[in-house]
Amino acid sequence: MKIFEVRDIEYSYLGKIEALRGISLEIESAEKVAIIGANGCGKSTFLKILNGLIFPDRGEVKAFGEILSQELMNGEFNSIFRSKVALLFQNPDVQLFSPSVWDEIAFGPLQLELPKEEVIKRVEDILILLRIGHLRERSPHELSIGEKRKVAIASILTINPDVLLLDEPTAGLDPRSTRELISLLLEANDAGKTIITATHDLHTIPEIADRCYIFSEEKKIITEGRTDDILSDRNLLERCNLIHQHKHRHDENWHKHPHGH
Amino acid sequence: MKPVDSFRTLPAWLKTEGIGTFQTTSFETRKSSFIKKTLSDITGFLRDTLFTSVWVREKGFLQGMDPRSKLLGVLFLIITVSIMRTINPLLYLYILSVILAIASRIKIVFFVKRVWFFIPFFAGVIAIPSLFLVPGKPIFSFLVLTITREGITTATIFVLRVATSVSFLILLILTTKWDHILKALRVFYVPSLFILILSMTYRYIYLLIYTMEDMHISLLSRTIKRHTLQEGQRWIAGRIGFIFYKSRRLSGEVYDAMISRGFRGEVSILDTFRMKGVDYLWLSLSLGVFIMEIAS
Amino acid sequence: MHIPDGYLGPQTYGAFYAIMIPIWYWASRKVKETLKSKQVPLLALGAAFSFVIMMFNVPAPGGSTGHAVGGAFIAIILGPWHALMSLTVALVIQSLLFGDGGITAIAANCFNMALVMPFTAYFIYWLIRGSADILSRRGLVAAFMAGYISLNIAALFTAIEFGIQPFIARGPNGEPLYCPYPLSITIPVMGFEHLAFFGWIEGGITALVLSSIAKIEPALIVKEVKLNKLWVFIGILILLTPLGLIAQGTSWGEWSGEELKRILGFIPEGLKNLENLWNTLLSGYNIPGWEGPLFQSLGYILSAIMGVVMVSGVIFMIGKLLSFWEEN
Ligand SMILES: Nc1ncnc2c1ncn2[C@@H]1O[C@H](COP(=O)(O)OP(=O)(O)OP(=O)(O)O)[C@@H](O)[C@H]1O
Ligand SMILES: [Mg+2]
Repeated sequence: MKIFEVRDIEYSYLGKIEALRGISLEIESAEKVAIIGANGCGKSTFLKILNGLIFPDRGEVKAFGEILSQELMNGEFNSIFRSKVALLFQNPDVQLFSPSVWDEIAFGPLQLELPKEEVIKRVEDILILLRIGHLRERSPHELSIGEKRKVAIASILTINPDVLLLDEPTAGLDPRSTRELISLLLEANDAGKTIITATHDLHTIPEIADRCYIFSEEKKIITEGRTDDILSDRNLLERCNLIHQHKHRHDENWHKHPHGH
Repeated sequence: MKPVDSFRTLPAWLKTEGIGTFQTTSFETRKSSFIKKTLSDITGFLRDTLFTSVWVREKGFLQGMDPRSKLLGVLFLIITVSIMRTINPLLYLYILSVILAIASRIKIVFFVKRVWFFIPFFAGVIAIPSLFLVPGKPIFSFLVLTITREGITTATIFVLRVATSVSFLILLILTTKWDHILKALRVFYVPSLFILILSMTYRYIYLLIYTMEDMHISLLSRTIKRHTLQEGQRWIAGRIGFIFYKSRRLSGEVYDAMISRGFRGEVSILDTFRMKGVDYLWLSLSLGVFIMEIAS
Repeated sequence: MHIPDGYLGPQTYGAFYAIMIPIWYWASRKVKETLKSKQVPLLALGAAFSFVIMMFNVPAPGGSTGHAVGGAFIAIILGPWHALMSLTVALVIQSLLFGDGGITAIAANCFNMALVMPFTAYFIYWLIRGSADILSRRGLVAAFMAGYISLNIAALFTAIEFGIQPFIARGPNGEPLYCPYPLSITIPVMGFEHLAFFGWIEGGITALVLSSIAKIEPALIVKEVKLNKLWVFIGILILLTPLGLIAQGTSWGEWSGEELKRILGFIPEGLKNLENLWNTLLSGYNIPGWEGPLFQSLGYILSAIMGVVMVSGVIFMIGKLLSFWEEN
């Protein structure tokens, strides 16, 4: 089943700052897809459009067969869509607005009007899963950046969405937490969840994506394909500013070689 | 497609050594004192809230209570304090607040200091002239100034009243997690949406304060020449404008994040508050004091 | 200007709750109408903004520094109703979570800093600016005056609230129970501080902040509340209500209304009649302990509520009448 069908969308902020110019793609259920590209190429904007938070100026986005629009989102469709699709924001400060970690993680399921016991069970399970039980009483402003990221991830997992839109999910996480998050996402994917990740972290892409799209600095899709093929095309990656020539000093000589992050 | 940039090299001026030598006074200008003052205010604010939050974790009398009955009781007591007309009952209530602090394992020196040195200091200063200014029976004369009995009573009642009410408010703040104080407002039928707004405000105050701190630190680190008064004020105004933009943009994004998780303008607040024996004890105590005062 | 607990007697702080509760209700309705659920983060961040700007030390002549309350430019940027709600939230948090300003005095503090200040600032700003450009000399003078005057009016109200305490409540031997100084002391002291020092800071910062914002986004500062004569009239009426209520309150204290009448110059006749009505109603019942301070306050608060309901009713009727005219 097709989850998203995006046809030739354009978007600009305040009618001035162009963020997307002519993006088309399709995403199937239970896929793992990555969106990669340099800073400012429109990844975050694109995920917000997929999440039905902003709407394209031109072109259309279909989710579960319906064309996303403000009117659609004002109606019945909204609550079903919100329980099926969740977005992890790039800036965790935006996403953590509740008084305590516990309240934050409970916010989503409470909005879905789940029974109280179910809410409590989900929150407790996720606290253990992400090893953040010790933070439960803390306020978001007292957390480190990595801790904030984990709480934000926990806060969308408790919704139990079918589609996870993740904006830089591993940024700020230590190596162990990164590994654990990836295996968690893989397990979720095996269980049938669709995972769409925006990232510049080339190391994690082979694991969290079977397919990837590269956005260019012109805010268009340069190319798409299987992750392995794309990541082995050094020329392409260099053109998109995802890897660069790196200046090193060996003995007394400067030399250059390509370097990815 | 854009060609890949070749290596960027540093502009020449960035490679030269900085101008100027250290002089002990050149950085310490009086005119930049507003920056340092704000910075030390912020540090003080953050330190205070840190010290304040220490006592919540103690297992004392007030900490073990349901925040709802605690808030209600404190309110009864503060209202009682506000209607008392003589010194003795005020004194008893002040002593009660100290006993409560001890029972709640709050370091008594800290508590008394916090109440007397910080908040009603101002009240004390205000009260002193009233010793001389309130007309009445003279007790003590010093040169042209005469202290009257009424003056003493007035000053004592005033200072004691302020100190006692502040003590109860401080007890509430010291022994209750901030979000529990806000959730407890439900007993007064404060709408849950308003409670959500209050708790979001508290949370984002910190974000904005950290931003403010960073701005001041970076200005201080770049301050070489003296700021004129105008430059200083213009800088402040510009920063206030910046914080305004930051908060407006944040509010838009926070709204998106709330919508994304299913927010539709209504919230349900989940709390695990439960009334126990101490709560009924406390409520009858505070209500009893209140009724006794009315009856007398 | 944050009044702590213990400075104001129950008659005064009770009256302010009676005044503010309907106003808060009205304001939240007003704010909800415009944008619905989007208001939640907008209000929260507006309140957080109001909170932190009070922490800026503004350099002043002679190497000293002062704080700006910010009520003026918040009102001009966000509109007065929005400012009322944001500042209320900020003040509630200051009192309840930081102990800055008393619990019993929340309504009085909100009255001074979240109602009087933003509304006067807003009206003064648009009255002076008229249709001039925001960055024109006239626009900047308007911003300065809005900050300067609104802060001083807020300070005047605070001084009045302090200064009437000795008249309202006295102990058994005639000594004052709450703030001990009469109007003849509080008004000059508060007035001097604010006219000579804090007002200049408030005015200067208001003008500078508005011009820094206007340079980036001039469209932001628009007149959202129509400023016709009616609004000015209602504004003045709202501002006078508490004066009348406070003045009326004295007769429950030991001091006669005449005494205060000389000081304030007037007592609104209608409210005085209301007071008589109340007294006659109650004199029939010989409630034991009625002389106690609580019952005095209760009586006072009840008549204050009645007063507010009546004033709101009049305002409501005028509003209805006016919209009726406009439609026809
Ligand atoms: N709220 C906004 N208002 C105005 N312009 C914006 C806003 N958000 C993003 N933009 C602009 O839109 C473009 C795309 O931004 P976006 O955040 O989608 O990029 P991104 O690919 O996520 O970048 P990054 O890798 O840095 O996260 C950028 O040029 C950015 O400056
Ligand atoms: Mg991004």
